[in-house]
Formats: sequence, structure tokens, C-alpha cells
Amino acid sequence: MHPQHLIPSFLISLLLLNIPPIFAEEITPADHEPHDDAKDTVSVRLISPNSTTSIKVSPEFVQFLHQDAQSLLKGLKGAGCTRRCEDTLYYIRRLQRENEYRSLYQLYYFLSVTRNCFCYDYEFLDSDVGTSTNFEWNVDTAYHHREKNNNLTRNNNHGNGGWSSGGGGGGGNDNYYDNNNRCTWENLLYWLIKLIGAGISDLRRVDLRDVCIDTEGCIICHGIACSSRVSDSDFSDQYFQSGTEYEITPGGPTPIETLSKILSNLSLPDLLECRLVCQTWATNPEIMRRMGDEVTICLNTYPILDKFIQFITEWDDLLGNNASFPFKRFDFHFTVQCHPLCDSAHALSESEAEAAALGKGKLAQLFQKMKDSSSWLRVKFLKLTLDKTHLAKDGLQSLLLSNPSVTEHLETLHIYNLSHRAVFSQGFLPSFEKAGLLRNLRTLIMDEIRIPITEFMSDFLSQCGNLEEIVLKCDKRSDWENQKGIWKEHSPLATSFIKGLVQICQNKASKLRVMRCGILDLTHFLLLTQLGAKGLLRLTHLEMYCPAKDVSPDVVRDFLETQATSLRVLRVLGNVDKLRRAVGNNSAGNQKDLSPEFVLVLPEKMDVLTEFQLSGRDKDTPIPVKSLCFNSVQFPYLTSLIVCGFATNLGDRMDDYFPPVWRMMKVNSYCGTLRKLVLPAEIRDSEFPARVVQLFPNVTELEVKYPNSDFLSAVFKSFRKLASLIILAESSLSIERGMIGDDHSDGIDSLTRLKSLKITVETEHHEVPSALTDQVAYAALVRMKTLRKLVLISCCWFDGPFSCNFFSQKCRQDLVQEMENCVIIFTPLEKTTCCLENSGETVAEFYGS
Amino acid sequence: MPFVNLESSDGDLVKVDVDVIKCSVTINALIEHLGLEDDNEVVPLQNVGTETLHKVLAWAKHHKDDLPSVDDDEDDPPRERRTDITTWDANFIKMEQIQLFDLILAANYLDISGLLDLGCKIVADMIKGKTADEIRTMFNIVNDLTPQEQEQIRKENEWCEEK
Repeated sequence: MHPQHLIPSFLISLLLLNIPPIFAEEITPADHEPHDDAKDTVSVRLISPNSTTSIKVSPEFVQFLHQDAQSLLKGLKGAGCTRRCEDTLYYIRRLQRENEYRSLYQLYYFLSVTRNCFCYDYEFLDSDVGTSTNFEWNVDTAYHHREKNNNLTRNNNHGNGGWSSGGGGGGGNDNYYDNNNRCTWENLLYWLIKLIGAGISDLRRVDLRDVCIDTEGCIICHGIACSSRVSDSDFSDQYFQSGTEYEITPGGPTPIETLSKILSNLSLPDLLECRLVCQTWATNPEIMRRMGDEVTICLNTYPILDKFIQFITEWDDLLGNNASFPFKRFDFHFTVQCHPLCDSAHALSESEAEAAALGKGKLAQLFQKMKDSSSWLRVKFLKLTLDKTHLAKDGLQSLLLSNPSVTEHLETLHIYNLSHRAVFSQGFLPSFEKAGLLRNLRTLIMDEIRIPITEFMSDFLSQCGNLEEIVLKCDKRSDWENQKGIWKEHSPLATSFIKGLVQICQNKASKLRVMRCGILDLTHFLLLTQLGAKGLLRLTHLEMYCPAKDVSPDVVRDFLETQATSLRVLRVLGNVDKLRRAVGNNSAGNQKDLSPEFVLVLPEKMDVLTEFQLSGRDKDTPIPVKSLCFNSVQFPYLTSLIVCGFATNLGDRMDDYFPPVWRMMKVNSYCGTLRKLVLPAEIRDSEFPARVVQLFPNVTELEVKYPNSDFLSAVFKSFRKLASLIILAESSLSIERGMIGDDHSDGIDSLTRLKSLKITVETEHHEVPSALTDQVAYAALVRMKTLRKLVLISCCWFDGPFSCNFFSQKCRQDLVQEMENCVIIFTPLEKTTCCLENSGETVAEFYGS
Repeated sequence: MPFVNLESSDGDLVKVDVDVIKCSVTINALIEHLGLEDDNEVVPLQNVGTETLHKVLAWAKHHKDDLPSVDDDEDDPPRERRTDITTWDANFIKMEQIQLFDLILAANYLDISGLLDLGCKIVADMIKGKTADEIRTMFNIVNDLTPQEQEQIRKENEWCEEK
């Protein structure tokens, strides 16, 4: 197959990463002669932290490049290119030809002059950031934008839906296109430079790695998705003078590229105040990104709806296409009885009917306004909460599928409570006439849905062909336990989704990579196994709860076998006993009917698994496991193992989770790749650490919960490579002796590589005298010369973290003075995550509060 | 022990232990890829003055033996990491504002992430809790926003405060 058929479009998408810049250096022969043939050539190197690309070209060619780049800049200036776009990442493929380099040099020259360049070569990006599939922009979307700009025209001759340049539309740029109306690599970069120079306000990522160039040096296939906005008022000569390296903010010395970094350390309220400083700060990309990512516009009452309509109307009148609308996340949350999305399906009083009509009218007005504003309004996140109401017949249709503001940009959709019987019985769900409208949707979260919606799901999934992540949630406030019959019969949400998935994956592999779900039953596993066996489903991340009663260990193993070559993260959550009792039996209280214990059996080889987690919370009992070897055959790349639960409840299972080396009786019977280990709580066996370190000799991050002093001492003796340690203790007394050690060789200060230490001491009330005594500070902590971060948290069981009561005041001062190279953080007064739970994200909360 | 010669923008030469300056990705890459084996080789640093260069080297020397960072707090929001400044660093960074900005520019140019982070956190702390007027005064920034633009920004900001 010709390479052109293998390579997708080149990508421009939104992404903001904080990666240090590439360094480019020219060395002239006179300055330096590092190579044998340096007398005849100039070595130009692109250096990134992890790799380097070196191309040798003649000095004349470099001179030519300089002149060419400078003339290009003049041309750009003449063409009205003005602002730059900060914090854009440029991903560029490995260069092969001189003419490619020429264009790249022009690009680099331009960017280096404006100092907004982060360049990485192909290899670095490929290994460190991963594939670019997450950010691929659809060609049709690209076409939409290009049509508006009238720069590119469709060329059907090149297949793959690719795009090439059309002559004549570029306004003085005709020479960028070759005689065959094809866009060359050089032309593409010229055009790109022009876009950058024009200050594309939302351009964050330019990915040129997959640009395909044929033997004549022409671009075969690319798509471009961004719009060009030029503001003459921002034009400034300083960007185009050689040697200008930083943009100076009005009156201030801060370079623009570090301004974003500075602002990234501020909270949102501070950032909002910063917007009022000056023009440059007002449109700073870091602030705009944070507003877009962190602010969700919640439209939950009619007055707010009114206010928002007025706001975007004024915004359109005032700024329209000339500025970037800062908000991209919306929550349509109407909990009132007369929901604006609601049809009058039930009898309404006169006032209710009036209110409902009013609400629907306003919502229609908003939808229309959103359509009218689709050139600047971009809805990337949408939460749709449908509490206690019914959808209007065209509600979803209007909001999701007929609105360019949504269809072209939506990346995450969270639908809450789409399962009222009336919705289905009265046919309120929309029928989809076209497929693939939500082409940019990557994440779908379905929440609190209890009756089958299979037909809707298969229809809906056909709208989002690029879906990568599905989350099937059940709200923890749900009364699901009272509805266990429904769960047993249907597991409706999972059933609906999986059947929908099967329907749309008849012949085409799903792009789904991440699946977070609750309980799966036998039917689910069988369907998923079928998909996996056919190569139509390749998950990288699976999070599930203990399977239902009818699922045998072999069924789960068979499914995991089909995912063994792709699965990187596997989390099996939930309380095995409680779940199987409730889901598997009609009479939960009948002990005789308790389901037999389920045992998780993993495939003999999981090629790429890096993280394995059993249970999400300590109060849960993890699923029993079998055939775990933790050797280089079964888990060649395992780096993280998390086992929750209380060791005292696990009993003999501990040996299943952490098999003694002698039991495995195999060569390489240890896991040398494991770096992070979270142990179950309340392990009292002081022989345990020595045994586990044989299994995982290279652990650098360890979390232990409710240890006693003997266990801690054993940990310090065994895990000598620790760089990070988290201790959750139930009282100061339980760990103090272990922290200090009996002599100076076995206290915590014996961990000579420890860089980060976090100690949480739990108490029943606030009135404890001291979470840790001064003796621990003076005899152990101050001796830890390598420690760079010490976090000490006092936590009350009932109220969460409270103000610090670690050490006496004098001791704290001494500690700060003595540990001058260590950041010491006492109980944060700001929001702190609950230390009782593992930090891993739990998605399916099946437990009542 | 290998050394490298750095030339400041003032023309001064500073001989530096390679182990000390390896925290600079820029110089480290130069050393690795260009093979600066000759002690007479000079690396010109056109954007770094002598005084700033000495400051950079003092920081680099103190942090020479730092262990590679652990990723324990990568998930923390940046605003919760801004207090991560050690006593030594806090004392080190006490300097005039203009020096601080020069140091940040040098850290950026030399690609020393630890020092750049430190400088940015300090400046962020200077900004924290201040009004726009106070920030402008502190950094000598001219307000080039029109009253209409300020009003528009305030309207947008209001939506960020809605719950």
C-alpha cells in the first residue's frame, strides 16, 4: 500500500502542555568543527531533552534560508500578520529532505523571532506524549473552516477525504500552490506561518507528524481546523525584527512566555482580577484556558437563563467574531417542576402551564441564539440534567444535534437521569436521521439511568463515532438496593450501552479505549468478549465492579484475554461480599443464598498492563484473586499495584495478593518494574515487608495505612529505595516508636533516598494533645537531609482535616529552620482530599451514604 | 572533574562544574550533543548577564544533589502547589524585582525548570490577592484597557462567580 493511504490528516487541535522548549543552535564552521566534514557543511541541530535531529547543509543554503525567512517575514507583515499565539505546541515529523527543512527553518525562524515556539521532533513526541489520535480533527470540520476562509478546496483525486490547496483563493498567495493545485510541504508551512502570524487565538497544538508527502514533495492528505482572525490594531513591528526575543508587557519586564507560567500558579479569582490589568493580560491564553476549563455556566433557573441570553446577545453585538468567547462548559440543570425542556405530558395547573410555556420559549430562544453564535460559541462540555421531568419531543434534538455550537465542538457529554419511563413510552427521544454529527465527542458519561435505553444508545452511539471514553455511573444517593430486581434483570445502563456498542461495531472497530462501569453480568461479558475476539474492541483502561453472580471466573478471564495486548489500567472495585449478595440474590438476608465467592483470574500474560488496582476503598473487601505471579512474564510492564481493604479481614487472601516468592517457583519470580505500591490497611505482620520487597524490589513509592511501630520499622528496613512514602496512622502513639527507631539505623531517617513524606494522623476528635510529639521531629525528621517535601495532616474522623496540632510551636519553628531544603506543609486549610479513601477515582458509587 | 566555560552577555567567563549546570537542559544538551571536551570551549550566553549568571549558578550548586523529582503531587492543582518553596529557596529568591525578572528570563533561556518554577511562584505570590490597580503599580504596567473593555471583562468575570 502506498504510504499516502496509511497516514491520516495532519492535525491542529487544542492542547496546552507545559513542556520546556527545544533549543536550536547553528554552528558555523568558523565557530566550531565538531565533525570530520564540517569544513564543507554546517551542522544545524534541533535538540530536545530526549533526542536530537541533526541535518547537515551547506553554508550557502543556510544563508539562503536566512534570506528566505526574512523575506517571508516581510511578506507576512505585508499580508497583515500581527499577533502571535502563545503556548502553542508544534509537533513536527522527522525531516528527510532539504526542502522540508527549508520550510521548517522558516517556521522555526518565525517562531523564534516571536518567541512562542515549543518544537519537538517526531521521536520525542511519539515516545513521551503518545499517539495523536486523541486530538485528531475531523476532515469535515476542517473543510467547514477552510470553506469559510476560501483558501483550500476539496480535491477528490487524493482519496481519504484529504484536502489540498486550491489556487487563487489565498489573496496574493498564489505562488504557494503548485501547478497541479496541490499543496506542497513548503506551501503548507507558509500558510501555517501566516495563520500563526495572524494570531489564531485558540490555536494550541499544531501536529505535523502525520503529514504525508509524496515523491514530488506534495502534501497528500491534511485537514486544518482553525479560523483566522486578524486584528490590525495589534500589529507591532517588534515581532518581526530579528533579535527581538520577548514581548514586553506594557510597561513591565515580564516576557510573555513566562507570564502564562506565572499565572498558572494563581487561583481562578486571582486570574480574573489579572484580566483587568491590561490588554495583554486580559487575553492571556493561560487565563482563557483556565476560564474555559474550570468555569461551568450552570443554567438552572429562568432568571439565569434570561441573564445568559442577554449576555451572549451583548457579547455578539460587541465582540462577535473578533474575540474568543471564554466559556466552553455548560450545565443545563432545570429541577423545577415545569422544566423548559418538558412537554405538558401531565396535567398542569394554569400557572404551571404558563410557566412551562414561558420556560420552553426561553429555551428555544437560547437555542436559537446559540445557533446564531456558532461562529464563536463553542460548547465543549455539556451536562444535561433531566430531573423529574420529561424531554420535549425535540428537546435533545434541538440542543445536541441541530446546533453547530454543540455538534462541532462538544468533547464531553454528561447525561443525568435519562430514564423516565414516560420518555420512552411517549417517544420523546429523538430519532436520528444522520449519523456522525457529534464527531468530536470523546467522553460520554451516563449517570443515574435505570431502565433500558438500548435503542437510544445504539442510535446515539452512531452519532459519536470517535467516542473514546464511556462512564456508566450510578449516583451514590440512588436507592438501587431497593431496586435490585431491576438490576438483576437488566443492569439496564450497561446492557443498553454494550448492546448499542455491538450494533455499531458490526464491521468497524470501535475507537472506545476507556470504559468505566459498574456491575457487568454474563451477557455483558459475553458480548464484550465477542467484540474483543473479533478485534473490534481494544480497551486501554477498564474500571469495573465485582461481576454479577452468574459470571464465572473463566468468563471474566476470557474477556480480559481479548484485551490483554491493549489493557494498561485495570481497576476492579467494590465490596465483593456486599455486591454479590445484593445483586445475585432476591433475598439478600438469606445467608444460604449468598453467592459463592468470586475469584478474579487474570490472563497468564498481560503485555502492557501498568496499573492494577483491587478495590477502591479500605472499607471494601477486594475481590479474591488467583494465579497472580507478578513476574516479568505475566506483567512485564506493571508499575503500580494498589490493594485496598483491611488486612485483618483479608486473612489468607493476603498470600494471594502478595504471593511469597517461594510459592511461585519460577525464574524471574519478582516484579522489577513495580514502582508504586499501596498496601492494605492494618498489616501487623512485621515479616511482611521483607517478603513483599522480594516480590517488588524496586518500589520507590509506598503507601501504608494504620501500621504499628513494628511494621513501620520493618518497612524502613526493607524498602530502602523509597523516594515517596505516605503513612496514614490512627494515632501518634501507634507509630512514634517506629518513626524514631530503636537505634539510629532503623528509624525513618534510615531512608536516605526519601524525598517526599506525607503523614496523616487520624483522631476521633480535635482535642488530642499532639498528632506527633516533638521527639519525632528532633530525633527523626530533622535528620532526613534528602527530604524535600513534608506534609503533615491532622484529620478528625467526623470533620475531616483540621488545623495543625503537630509539635509544639517552638518545635515547628526549629523544624522549619533546620530543614531549610524541605517544603513543610501542615494541615492545609484549603480543600483537602479525604485521606480515608484511596486517591484513585471511583466511578460507580453503589453505596448509600 | 569536567568543567564548562560559560560566557555571560557582559563578556565575563565563568568556569562551571558540569555536574552543577546539568540542571540546565539547554547547556546539558549542548554538552551531550556537541561534545564540549576541550576545556577552552566557551558557551556564549547572550541573554544572561554576569550577576544573573552567578545567581543561577548559586542556585544550581545548592540543588546539585537533588534527587529526581517524584510525581506524588502531579495531580494537585497548580494553585495548591504554590506554597512548595523551601526555606533556603525563599531566602535565595529575596532580591530586587528587576533581578528577579532577569533570573526568570535566564532560567527560561537555560531551561532550568526548578529555578523557573521558583521564580514564577514568587511572582505569582506577589500578585496573589492584589487588585488590578495594585498589580499595575507593582509591575509598572500601563492600563491600556478602555472603560468599555473593563466593563465587558467584569461582566464575563461575573459568570465565573456563579454557582
